[in-house]
Amino acid sequence: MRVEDANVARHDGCGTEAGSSASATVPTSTLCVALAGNPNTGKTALFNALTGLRHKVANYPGVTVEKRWGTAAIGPARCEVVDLPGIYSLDSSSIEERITRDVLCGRQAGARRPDVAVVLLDPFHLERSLYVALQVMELGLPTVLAVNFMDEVRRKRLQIDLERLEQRLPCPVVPISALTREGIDRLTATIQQAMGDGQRFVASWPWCDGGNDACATAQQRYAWIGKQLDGVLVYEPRHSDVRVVFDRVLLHPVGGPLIFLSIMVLVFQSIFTWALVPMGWIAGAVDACQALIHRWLGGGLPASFLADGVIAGVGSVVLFLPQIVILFFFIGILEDTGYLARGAFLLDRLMHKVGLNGKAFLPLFSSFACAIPGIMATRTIENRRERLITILVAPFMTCSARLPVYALITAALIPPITVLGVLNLQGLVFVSLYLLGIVAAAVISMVLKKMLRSDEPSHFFLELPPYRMPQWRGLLTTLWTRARFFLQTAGSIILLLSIGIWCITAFPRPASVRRAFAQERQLVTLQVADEAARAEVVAGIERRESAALLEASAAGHLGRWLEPAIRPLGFDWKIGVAIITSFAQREVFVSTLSIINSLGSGSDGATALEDTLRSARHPVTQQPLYPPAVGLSILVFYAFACQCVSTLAVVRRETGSWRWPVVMFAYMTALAYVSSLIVYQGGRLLGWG
Amino acid sequence: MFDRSELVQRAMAHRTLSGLAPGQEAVVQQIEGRDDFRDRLAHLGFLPGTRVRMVRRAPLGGPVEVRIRGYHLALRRRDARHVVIDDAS
Repeated sequence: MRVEDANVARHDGCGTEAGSSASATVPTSTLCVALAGNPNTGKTALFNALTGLRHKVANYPGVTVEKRWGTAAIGPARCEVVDLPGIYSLDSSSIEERITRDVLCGRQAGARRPDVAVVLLDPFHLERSLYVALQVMELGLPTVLAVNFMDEVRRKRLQIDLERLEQRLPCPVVPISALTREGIDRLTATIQQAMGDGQRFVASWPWCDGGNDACATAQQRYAWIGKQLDGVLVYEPRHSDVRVVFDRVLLHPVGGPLIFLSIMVLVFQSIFTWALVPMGWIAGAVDACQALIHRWLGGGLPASFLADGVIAGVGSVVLFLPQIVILFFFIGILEDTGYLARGAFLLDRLMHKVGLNGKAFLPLFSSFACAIPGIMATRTIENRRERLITILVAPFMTCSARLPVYALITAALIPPITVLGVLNLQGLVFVSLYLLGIVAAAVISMVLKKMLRSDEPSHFFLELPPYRMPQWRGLLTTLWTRARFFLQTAGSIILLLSIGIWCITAFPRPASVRRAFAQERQLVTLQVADEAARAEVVAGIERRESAALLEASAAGHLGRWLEPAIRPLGFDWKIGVAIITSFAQREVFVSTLSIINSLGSGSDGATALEDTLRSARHPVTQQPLYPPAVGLSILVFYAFACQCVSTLAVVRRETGSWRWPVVMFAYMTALAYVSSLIVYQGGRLLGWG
Repeated sequence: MFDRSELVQRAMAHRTLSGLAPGQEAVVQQIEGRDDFRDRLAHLGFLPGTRVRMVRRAPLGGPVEVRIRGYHLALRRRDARHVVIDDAS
């Protein structure tokens, strides 16, 4: 961001309105090129072709529009390239269109006024893509028009007279194919040339005098474009049969929704099966790091800080990276092929009924891997109320962080009996938890729709783009950027919180407890002669010591203090501590329970932990401490509770205030508490307690 | 003022995009509704005189898909009801 700020300062005075470009006076080393155009015109592919992997992603300050920029070699100079959001016009009210306009005018904080605008045109939709191009030209910036998909144009035998078009327009027109890098050299040469003669593009447009309303202006613009395009389309083949055939199947009234469901199931299946392998590697690497630290630093406090605080905390975020990357891979394919828009088309009716929008499909779908990218994906929803509702219900989707909790509790506390002849009860509970999340999201959306009053009308305008093959190279670049972005944003917050949680579980460390265990250890050293047996006993003592220290720590006190409140849900203080420590991340629940239950928190501890939980007895009554009713209560609690600080932080960033994260945390926790209470007390009445 | 025959007449006169059958083509006459809604549609190319063709209607009252100015756009039926159309000339 530093470079950006410097540029903003220098460009502060310029560019309040069209025609004030001063490209001749700008030093050649810091020229700036902006890429604009409709969605689905291959803007990102051109951006990648120009900048390679040298690009960055961030937000424009104060707003949630993503800013992508990088550097490219334009002639002898290194040039900054900014990828603007895909838009259909420059003066509509959507946030993306406003930002694009402000960037092009040099009014956007955190971005400098571009020296040249490159507008991408889609040769198959020339009229509409020229509409944005015309609006960019009206701003008075030196403009270069790049007609993309030229390889496809030849393949489909479309004949366009681009020379004729260029003669009529006040700016150069370059045919390119961003994917095959065809024409990129000519494009950069044209950009370089355009930087020199900025004045050439200052034209006057009759409809820019003011006084016209937006509709009349649009009419004049389209009329002008129609005149320029006259005779340019030499031969247009009948629109593609591929689209007709595919849409007939994929948007079929009955078949379409069925295919949609199958695709979703397939994607989830792949996410979970494919991700297991790299997740195993990462878990192994985290374990190895922890072991290495303990070998180097021994068992002292600094080692614990690094291994159990920093490494475990950061590792648990990195652990979910494979699932997120695989999910984005599928989203990328569905987006490239044009299927995402079809999904939104099929779902809009259903979504609208519960107060959402067809465009909420992608964010909610992403939230099954992780609510953070899901919430960031709500930016495409224009209606503020619909966007807010989508953000507020996204955490109900069963994210991957809930899986370790669900896996442990179902395996340990739900009896593996067969119900209705064929269904395994554990599997049934697992599937029900997924459905529970979806149903909760629908119900809460309907409630929020009633509660949040809004005058803003809800619309759904969505272009259904032509079907295309996925663009593998661009997809990999996007995945790489996404992965980095995810690690940066989630990782920094998680790191700080992990340190905080480690502190409350590690302190205070009463000297009396430590002395007692030190004495016990000494005694064993004297009494047990056999070395192997002694090591085993000492290890047992150490586990009990860490459990005792945890009980005496701030987190332990908190658990005891919390116990009266969570007793009605069937939770004891140990589960209370696990709920507190897993406040930042749900999966910490498992490792906390395993520490408290005097087991190592290593990855092989899971099976042993199941047995410990199942066989835990009340010291006086000898009743099972965690009967099935408690298991169900824990599961329901984790299905609803907002135990994820990263989500709250993202909601804060996306909504711009602390109000909504606070509301989200409060209502989700209340819902979790009440539901758990009903489940536990109901379960006890049914005799499962 | 609002006698029945006039209402019927008005209903007859106001053929809208949402009533178009798949495959049928028409010409946009005018857009009704709020200014921002009309502006949005104008930018998307819905202007008096523009040809528009109904491609398909999503089941159960879902959105409609129309072809206008060479591209395909999905919009809700309720919004399509604000697009007043004439027969294709």
